[in-house]
Amino acid sequence: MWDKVEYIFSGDFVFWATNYFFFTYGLLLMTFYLAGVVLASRAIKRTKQRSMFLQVNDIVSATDIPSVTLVAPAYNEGLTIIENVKSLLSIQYPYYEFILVNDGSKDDSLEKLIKEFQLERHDATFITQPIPTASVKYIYKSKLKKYTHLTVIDKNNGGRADALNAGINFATSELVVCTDADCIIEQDALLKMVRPYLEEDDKEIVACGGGIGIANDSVVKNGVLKELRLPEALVPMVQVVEYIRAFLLGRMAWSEINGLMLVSGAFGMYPRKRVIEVNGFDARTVGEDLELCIRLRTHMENLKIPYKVTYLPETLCWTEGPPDYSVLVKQRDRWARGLWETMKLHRKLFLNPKYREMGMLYFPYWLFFEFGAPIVEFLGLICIIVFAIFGWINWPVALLLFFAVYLLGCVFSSAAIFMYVKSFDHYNKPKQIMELLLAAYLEPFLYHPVLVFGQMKGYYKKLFGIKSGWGNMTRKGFKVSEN
Amino acid sequence: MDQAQYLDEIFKLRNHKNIYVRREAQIALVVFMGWESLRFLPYLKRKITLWQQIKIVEKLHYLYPTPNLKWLHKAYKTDKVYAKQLLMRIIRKFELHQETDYILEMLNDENYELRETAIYCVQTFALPNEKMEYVKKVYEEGLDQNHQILLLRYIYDNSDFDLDFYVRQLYSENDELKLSVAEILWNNGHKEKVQEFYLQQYQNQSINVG
Repeated sequence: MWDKVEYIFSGDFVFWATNYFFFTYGLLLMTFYLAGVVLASRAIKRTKQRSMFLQVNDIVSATDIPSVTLVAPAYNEGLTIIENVKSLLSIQYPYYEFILVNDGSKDDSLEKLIKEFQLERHDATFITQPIPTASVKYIYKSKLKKYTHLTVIDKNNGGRADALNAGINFATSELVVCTDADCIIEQDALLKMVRPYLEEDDKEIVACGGGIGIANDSVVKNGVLKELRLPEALVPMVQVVEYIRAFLLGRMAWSEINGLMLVSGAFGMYPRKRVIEVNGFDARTVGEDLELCIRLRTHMENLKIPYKVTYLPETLCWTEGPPDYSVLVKQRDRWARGLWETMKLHRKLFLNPKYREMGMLYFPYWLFFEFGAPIVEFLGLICIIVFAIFGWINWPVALLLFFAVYLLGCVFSSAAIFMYVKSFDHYNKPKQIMELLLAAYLEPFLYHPVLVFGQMKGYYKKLFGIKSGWGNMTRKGFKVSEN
Repeated sequence: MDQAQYLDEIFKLRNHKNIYVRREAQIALVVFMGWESLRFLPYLKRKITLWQQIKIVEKLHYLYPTPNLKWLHKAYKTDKVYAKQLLMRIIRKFELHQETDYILEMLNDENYELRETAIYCVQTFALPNEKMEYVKKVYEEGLDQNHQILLLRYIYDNSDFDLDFYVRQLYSENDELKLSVAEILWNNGHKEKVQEFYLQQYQNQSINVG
């Protein structure tokens, strides 16, 4: 028996246990990714098939389709607010309202809006607030006939989640779309997003997300994306690949088995009734989009009503990604904190059979492979250093393993790029495809380590209770075409 | 192409497991049979999606603009939620004022979706006083706050100003509804009623000054 105890504390055991842990973890992750490719290709095929039977032109001319309100919070966005609002106002949808929530901006956003859209101030004393929010000061409506579908809510600062809740409170439509004021949304995006709700069968759609793309250095005219270009800098360029892979492979695959736990905050559609039932976005977390989606799912599981969270593979919303490493670290730090907070808030779901697949598979996956991945990677790096010091590394085998994993990663990225290029015509020039592939192959060396650093920074802050909010996200803005 | 001779074949496909097959079959039934096709509604086994309902209503309106109420009444026998929703949409589209009782009946149904469709459809119609009284009664029974707010707007927009009704609602239990009612009273020259209500909340509280 003492031999066994001695073995457990010996270097041999630590060496083999560590090796097996990392090997099993990597193998499981690769299996999930492989399954993801298969499921995603099936899901994309199915979505294309569906869109053939329900064309955008049919929807636009139909009566009785659900009304939609787009809610966009804005905080100190005076520089671009007018172009952004004009862009969001020009979206095609027969029954469409747009609510811009000025979340206590300290700049001249509101004055600019009042002047440009001839806004008229209305009293907010009697507005109903099913979801409690920071106090609303005034409601503004345009005097111009062409902007009757615009409402501006001026409220005290309460953060993004709080601002979205204020907009949802004020909306009267069946569906609400939550986005950011600086996002460029495709003109027919709502018509495409509403499709799953129109075809809702025996499962209620509680959330629908659309693909989000990176549009740094692209040309924008009158708030519409005129020319989509690949970013010039490496950081946003790699993000294009990262987003394609995440949205096309990850989310579509999970959507196919109804395991989607996240609809991005930048562009998500929800039934207003259900959002109000769960009391809206949670202002206590910076990962409010993930948190809401999990809470909606939990709510439906508790009600025992069949439901679905769905995703559209096509990029419907364009945003500006972090332009450099410094902003990227801030963004991933915030995402990591949001993930930590959400995992903690919903820890009761973990391996809880009451919540069926969500409790037994989807939530544990998020915990082990989304939340756990940066920790495992970070520990892996430490192990490599320690093992190298002790001379425990068989370098030829280690290098072979490294190249095998690297190549597999490249295969997944290439598969995602080719699936995207084949399905959509955003990046169809050979030069663009080559650039995307090159970015994908450089990603593990020049991008991923920074990502892990940002995520670990976020976890470190949570672990030691270091307070941190959203952080300043410096943006360069899109290139605006005057012609 | 008007291949009406295949109606029997199409009829068999109305409950097909594939959504697109049964959708096309149901549309074809409407195209060939018009209002008579509604008699099959009670016997449908699978849900008619919202899009399918929209298409059926559109086809019916385009090809058979003159209503045939006989078949509509037969379809009333259905107990399926989706079929009831479709019937309400037909009543709305064809502006069948004489059939509004069917929609009113659904206003306080236990099913949320049915109530929602009923509120959406009733908004097309201006109801006579006695029917509006019924709507007010449904509002007061209140199955759901969201729907009560929608009904309140409908009542306000489509009936004579009933001060007693609004004052009664001001003293109801739900704060959100009270707020909406207060706004109506305030904007219609009854500020004193709102102030009276506001002050009576503090009637039983002693205020210590100094």
